Amino acid sequence: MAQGQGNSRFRSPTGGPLLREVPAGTKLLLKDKSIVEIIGNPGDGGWVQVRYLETEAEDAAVGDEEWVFYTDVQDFAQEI
Amino acid sequence: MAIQQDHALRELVDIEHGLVSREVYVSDEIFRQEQEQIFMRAWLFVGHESMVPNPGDFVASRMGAEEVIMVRDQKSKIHVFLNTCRHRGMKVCRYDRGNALVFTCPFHAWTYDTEGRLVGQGHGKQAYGPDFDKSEWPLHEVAQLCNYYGSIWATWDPKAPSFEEYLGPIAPSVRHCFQGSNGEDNGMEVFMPIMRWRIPTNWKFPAFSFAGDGTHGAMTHLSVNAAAVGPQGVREGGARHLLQAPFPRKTHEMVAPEYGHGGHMAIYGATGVPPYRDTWDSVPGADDFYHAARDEKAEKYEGQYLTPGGHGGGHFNVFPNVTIDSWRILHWHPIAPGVTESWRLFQVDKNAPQAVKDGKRQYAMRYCGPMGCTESDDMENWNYAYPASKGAVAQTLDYPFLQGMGKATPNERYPGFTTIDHTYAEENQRVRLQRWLEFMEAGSWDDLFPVKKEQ
Repeated sequence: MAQGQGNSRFRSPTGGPLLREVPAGTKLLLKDKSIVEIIGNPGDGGWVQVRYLETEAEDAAVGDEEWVFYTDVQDFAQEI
Repeated sequence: MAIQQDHALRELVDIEHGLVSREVYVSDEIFRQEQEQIFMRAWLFVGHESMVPNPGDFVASRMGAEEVIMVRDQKSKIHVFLNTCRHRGMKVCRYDRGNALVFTCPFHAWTYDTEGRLVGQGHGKQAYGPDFDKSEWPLHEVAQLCNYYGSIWATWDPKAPSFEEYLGPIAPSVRHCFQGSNGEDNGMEVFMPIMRWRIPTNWKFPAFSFAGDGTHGAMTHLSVNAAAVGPQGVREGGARHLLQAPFPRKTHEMVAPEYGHGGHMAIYGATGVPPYRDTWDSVPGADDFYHAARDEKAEKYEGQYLTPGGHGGGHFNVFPNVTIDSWRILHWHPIAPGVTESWRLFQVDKNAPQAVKDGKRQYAMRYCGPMGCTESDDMENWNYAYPASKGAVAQTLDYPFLQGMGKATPNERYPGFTTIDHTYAEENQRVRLQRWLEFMEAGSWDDLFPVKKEQ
């Protein structure tokens, strides 16, 4: 998974992920260890629509489609 | 919330004698009551489906003093929502138009999809826990919505009659205004962006007089009539309106008294469609387009009378605050007792060549709106009539609505309408004020709709 500074469009100055311009298809690692794929991005930097690819969370299942808030995102699950 | 029934208003509106207190037009309390009694109940024009052609498209609109969002959802259904977050009221949409997957409130990130469903809240799981039911907190949607041949109308009141029932006898004329020049239903689209601007007057000044004030034109528009702003330029002495070919028709003061609708509408004396007369000197090809469209329409209307109004046949008001004719929609939104937001939507044939659309747009800008030649005349009257009526002395003086008193008679060909065979009358204004009074006094739609329905 991606770490460090990376592209400034997708990283804040402190290194955290920025979601505003991330395209659909990008994989994310959530703080609950789930791996999700972005299927929709309204471009507000707050929310992305995702499909769960891997999860052990109690309230989610593989294939579920949900809206995820940026504070619940740990990092990108791929190079971006 | 209690709805006030104020029978003291009858002392301010004496339709029988054609006298109306100026207080009706300047009172803060009356304005507040209007928002509840009229704008929370009536069917209101919101926009046109062509303003949101694709899934996710939205435009900001208004219903009364409140802002709404008209949006086409991802399944192509149109919705109208109040533009306020259910959490703390912040606007969830602060753009005039666009395309969106969701509407996110910038305050606490309450987020709604294009069907109005709450789909997320910032820190939602931690703050609200697993038992919070998002389905109880959608965007507030209108109670009823109607797509009437492309025009979008809505009401907050689930007890309101259907839109077509609300229109009553004027329904065919509304339908006709959204037909293409070739007679095809829903043949028009609306130029985007629309015009909108605010004027320092009460909404009833324009809304209750437009398409109902025949004696104002000669003086108010004296200069613009001479300015030759029409598409035919200075040909035949110039004018602001399109040239019309001779055809048996007469413009009437025409009102549906039980409904409050009406205007200056042509009643045709012969079946079929008037011939088209070349007008568009400045737009090559436009006259050819309109000739062909007219011929196509003539086939559809062979042996039939055209409906009153529309397509050069005059224009009319749908109570309470929108005026419609064949090429424009004039909308008067109440913002405050002394502030009205005017909107102009201009229609053009969907299938017109681009040069024709551009020519029509330029004519509209020349004629209408805050920079157009005609409306600046009207605005000057309304903008000064309001402050000149606010004072204590001024409010002791009634407005007389006496033109054509007692002259309107039931129209035999068009049941439900009463008519006067000229337009130098104020029957439209009296009818709109009478309907205004009925709405302001009503406890509910049970008191308003002319046809009593079984509960």
